[in-house]
Amino acid sequence: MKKVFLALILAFFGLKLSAQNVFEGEFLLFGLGGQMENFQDDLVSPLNYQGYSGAAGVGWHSQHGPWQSNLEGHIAIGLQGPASLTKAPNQTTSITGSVNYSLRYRLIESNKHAFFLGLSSANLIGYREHNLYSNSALSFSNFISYGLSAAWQYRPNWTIWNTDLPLAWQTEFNLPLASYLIMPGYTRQFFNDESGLRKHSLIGEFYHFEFRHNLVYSLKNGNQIRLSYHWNYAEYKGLNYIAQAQHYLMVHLMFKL
Amino acid sequence: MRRFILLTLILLTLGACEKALMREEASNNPLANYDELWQRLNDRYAYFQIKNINWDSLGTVYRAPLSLQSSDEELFSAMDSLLYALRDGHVNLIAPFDINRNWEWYLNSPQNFNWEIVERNYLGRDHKIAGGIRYVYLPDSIAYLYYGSFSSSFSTAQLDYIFNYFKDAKGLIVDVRNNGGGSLNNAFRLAERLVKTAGPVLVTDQKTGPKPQDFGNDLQYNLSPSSRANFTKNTILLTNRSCYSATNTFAALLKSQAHIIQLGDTTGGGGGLPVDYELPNGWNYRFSSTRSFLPTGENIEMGVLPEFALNIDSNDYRLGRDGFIEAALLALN
Repeated sequence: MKKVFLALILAFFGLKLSAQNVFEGEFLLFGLGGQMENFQDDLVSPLNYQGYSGAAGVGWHSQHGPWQSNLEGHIAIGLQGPASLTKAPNQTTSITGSVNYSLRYRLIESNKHAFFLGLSSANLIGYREHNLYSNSALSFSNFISYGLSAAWQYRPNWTIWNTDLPLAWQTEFNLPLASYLIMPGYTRQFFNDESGLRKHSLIGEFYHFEFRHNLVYSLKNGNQIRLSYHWNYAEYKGLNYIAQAQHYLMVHLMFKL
Repeated sequence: MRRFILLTLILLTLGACEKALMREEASNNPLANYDELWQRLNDRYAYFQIKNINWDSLGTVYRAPLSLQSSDEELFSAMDSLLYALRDGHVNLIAPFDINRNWEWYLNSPQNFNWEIVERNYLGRDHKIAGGIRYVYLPDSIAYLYYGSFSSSFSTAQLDYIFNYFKDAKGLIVDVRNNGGGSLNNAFRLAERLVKTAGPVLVTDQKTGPKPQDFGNDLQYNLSPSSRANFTKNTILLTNRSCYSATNTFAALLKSQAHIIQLGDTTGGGGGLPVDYELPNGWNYRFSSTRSFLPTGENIEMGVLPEFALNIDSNDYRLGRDGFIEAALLALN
């Protein structure tokens, strides 16, 4: 295991390549970080729950000419408790994750900026288990959403103490317009061994937004270190109200392929 | 550079605005907690009509003494009175200092069970134990099986062993007295070893919306005789009022079988599957959100009636006899 890790590190920092546009090319990414989760689930509690999770992610970024596509997934496991009851212990254990794919086309490009517009599939899953409940401890909310996607890239030429800072920025925004929802039923999680609620929903009945801000530090060999902040928010205004938000901060190692 | 930092801050701020988007959190004061409890049950409790409960009226009566300054004990007392009226063993409110419950379903009836007598005078020193099941041959080749909790599981191999062991028995006594319930899965697994004829055994539905008539997701459960070791000769099921929840359902599953006779007292009831929830002040509670019926349409929330109703004579206890087992032995012989 140590040898594999060492080989990955050597490959990451060792190979020498150069690129005109730091985003151009194919990248495989691996990330580790943390997540702050905030949810309100009417099947669990009338209270807002909040807590922290450890998170890991993988993905693939591709950009060739005007086309850009991203596939990224993350999973986080952690504990949450009622935000307003300061003496309450962490009461839920959650596993959350996301899998997003976006395909975008560059509409505007200037010397330092580029703007992309396209389509995305944004999938958000959340499983929660209430540790104090014995009869209906499990709840879940899955948003399998699709809609519009936009990205903005910024490639400045910064110099500090006569040294070039190879930094760049990309912000992505996904706005799903429709979603397939998999959630518990009104009083029971499952009916006949299937999730209680499974339906297509249009924006208005549900909301799902995603922001992702990436600060990219480009190495001379073309690999990158990326500090990524991601905000997911999803809400369903059905018989059981569910809103969940995740903020995660991750350091990604991006291997140029 | 300054412009870049400013832009970064704006973008990061965008990601922290979900509190403004989310529904406002429920207030945490005595009246809001009481209202939350009342409303939640009003929308989701399954047995108002069957029990003929005027929830609006009860809610008003028990809310009256409360105010924003009420203590936790006063709030608990009001909620306790409100929930007590539901007459449901699956309804509990759990505060740090007390647990609300209504256990009248068995406290108002004779216990009809004495474990010491069963263990010493019927099971005896050499009875066998497989998982949560104790079993033994009584005189005249009558098999006796005691199962004290559906939370105590058993394996398929253990059931095979038990029913192979009993294959030459003349009859079987299945004693589930004082079994307060547990896993419904265990109830179905044991029941399929006892049924002789296949068919529908139970129908359930669940609350699917806040209106009183919002019930749906009907589900019919069928049972077929097990292809593994089973017992389909004459069987007597012994029940008392402490047979609750999964045990109540177990009695219902066997109700349609002509070769199985229920003897003793009506089971305690508890036909609804409970769900858990919490109040804004952090207290937990649970209540029934589903209903269960026999295929004939009878609701089993208040218990399953025996074919032969019986109460144990206190003289029997003095003589070290269990009147139910003695009656079952007599019937099977």
